[in-house]
Amino acid sequence: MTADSRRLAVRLDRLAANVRRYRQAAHGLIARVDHDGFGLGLVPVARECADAGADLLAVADFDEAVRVRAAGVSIPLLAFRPDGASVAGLGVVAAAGTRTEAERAVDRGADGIHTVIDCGGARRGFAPDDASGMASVASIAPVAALMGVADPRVAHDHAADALQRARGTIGTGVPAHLHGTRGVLAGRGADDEFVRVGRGLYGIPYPDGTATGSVVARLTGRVVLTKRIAAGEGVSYGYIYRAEKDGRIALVTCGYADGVPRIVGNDAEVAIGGHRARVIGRVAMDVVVVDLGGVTAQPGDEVVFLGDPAEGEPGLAEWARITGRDTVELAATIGPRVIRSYQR
Amino acid sequence: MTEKPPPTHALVDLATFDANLDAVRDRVAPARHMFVVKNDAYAHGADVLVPRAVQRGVEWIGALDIETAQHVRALVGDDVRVFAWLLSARDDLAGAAGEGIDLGVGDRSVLEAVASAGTTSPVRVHLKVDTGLNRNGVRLEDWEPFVARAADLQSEGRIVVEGIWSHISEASDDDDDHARTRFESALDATAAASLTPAWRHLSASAASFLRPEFRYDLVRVGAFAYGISPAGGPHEPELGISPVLSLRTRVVDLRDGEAVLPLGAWHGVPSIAAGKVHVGIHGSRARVLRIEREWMSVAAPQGSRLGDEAVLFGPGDDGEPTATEWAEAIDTIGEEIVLAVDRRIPRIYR
Repeated sequence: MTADSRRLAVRLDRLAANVRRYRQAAHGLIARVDHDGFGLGLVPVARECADAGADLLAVADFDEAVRVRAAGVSIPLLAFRPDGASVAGLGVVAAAGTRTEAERAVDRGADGIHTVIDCGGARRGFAPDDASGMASVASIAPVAALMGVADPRVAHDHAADALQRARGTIGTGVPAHLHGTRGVLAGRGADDEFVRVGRGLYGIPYPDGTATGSVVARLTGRVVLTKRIAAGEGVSYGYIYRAEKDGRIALVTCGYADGVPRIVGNDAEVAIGGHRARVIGRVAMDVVVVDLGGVTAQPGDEVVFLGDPAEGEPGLAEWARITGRDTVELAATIGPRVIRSYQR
Repeated sequence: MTEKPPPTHALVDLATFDANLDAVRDRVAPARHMFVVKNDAYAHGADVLVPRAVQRGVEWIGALDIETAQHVRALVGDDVRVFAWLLSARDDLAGAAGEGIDLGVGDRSVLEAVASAGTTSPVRVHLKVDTGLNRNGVRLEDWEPFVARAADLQSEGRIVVEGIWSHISEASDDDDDHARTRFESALDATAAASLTPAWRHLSASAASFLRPEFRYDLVRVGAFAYGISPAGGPHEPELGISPVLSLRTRVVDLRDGEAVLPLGAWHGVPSIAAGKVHVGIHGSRARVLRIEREWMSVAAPQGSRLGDEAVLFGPGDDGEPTATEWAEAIDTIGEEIVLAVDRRIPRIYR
């Protein structure tokens, strides 16, 4: 297959617009580019977020921080975990939810700490009234901020109260951040010095389809071939689909190795030339089969797996409905063979 | 190896891999094993496993597409046969043929593109018949003219037909028997067109082990070489194979009886498995409670300590389930679990 047979096309102009929108709703924006820029490619995403006005970039660990710095992005960086290469002299702070993490951060050259506060069900960080825990971190490294984390099911007010208690515990003057996309969309952007946004920057909808921003990424495959199918014939492994009538089908690149969940076979739709067509039979490792219905298609035609629902294309919410997985999980696990490309 | 592995890594056990290759070879003989290595050897690392397999006596490598086949060719000598089958007329067919790659052709337009690729020697092709899967492959009613055309192209010296092959659905033994009947009739029609290819191949892992009459001359086995058994059974011990890859990490936090592990959905751990699977910690089974984006939590076994090694899946030596057992918990197959493991997690070979 040619290199463009599996593509994740990233609209940097849309990413920039989303960054500006979330930046305007807050005093400061921590743009989450962790986990390889939500799977879209760390460096191009980090550079775009910085250029569009993010105040700070959040990366997964020190290895990602080093990659961002090596690409010449100079704005402050926050590593969510103090693991990986040395960041001495690179202007990186690290989140620490235990004294051990703070020590590791300092050992590896972090300039300071964002002390993690458990604001409800987070399984990480200090309790809001754990004065001695917070002090143990402050004794090791300068505390640059409090990073509140909470389970998404915890109410905004409950989490915000917890963060407020932590501010009281550590003393005045330390900036804090807690809310993300969900908080900003609920009008919480101005509560704290920063918001910490990921989902919304990429326009990843909630599983119920609620939009969070302009959709940035587009996953496409290509038609390999088209052929006839006769009524009664099965399709793909296990024959979970049988044709009701004679028709035409297409073999299309992208399978579960590329992040198309195996379980969406028979349920998901794709778009070919602006028309919807159903994925039939089991999703295989490298390909799917599509019922063309009345759609005409030729080998080499582009097939949209994930596009912009605002333009009538299939989107992540459809996969979330079928799989029971969160849309961010699905968006960030597109396979390594899919080439990433960038446009404005 | 004296160096301490990173806290989170995928361990690839080469002795287990060797043993699986031997098990495949012994089971399918006298048919030969085509070792399938698409998607970076099912995320195990083709650069290590392909040369290892060749050293162990594997003579055929199944690569999927031309790009993968060319990568494989650079790893192995010219005497190793490399097979690519997901092709389009837009591909670099001449380049592939020039590197001695065997091409699986299941479409008339691709046959013509191969034949007119302009190579100095005939291109080795394996003609694919669709025996019911309805993916690539020529439908049976179109097969006679297809092989007649192939015979013409062979006599012109443009191609040499090295194989006839197909894929089966494994929907049921009856369905597969029906597919094999079609395969036989395609073989008859091929012989009638005066083509006598040396390599007939129909089966992948499961049928190659369990249904001797499906073996023919060559079997295309990926999953079992990596020790991935079919969801729903038969499982590894019955097949005489064992999982090669184990996903390992360390406890980073302990609170309220839960051990927190720094792996989550973003590293390929499917969130919908929470509550349905366990991990192994020092031989104990620790029930998985939550799987979030970047972390997960498990019920901490008695005496758990920070830094304890936790094994998500693997052969079971540390109390962990197999990838196939994870798959069975969420209605999929072991291949999807293994392939999802984040490629940035280091592979450590032992």
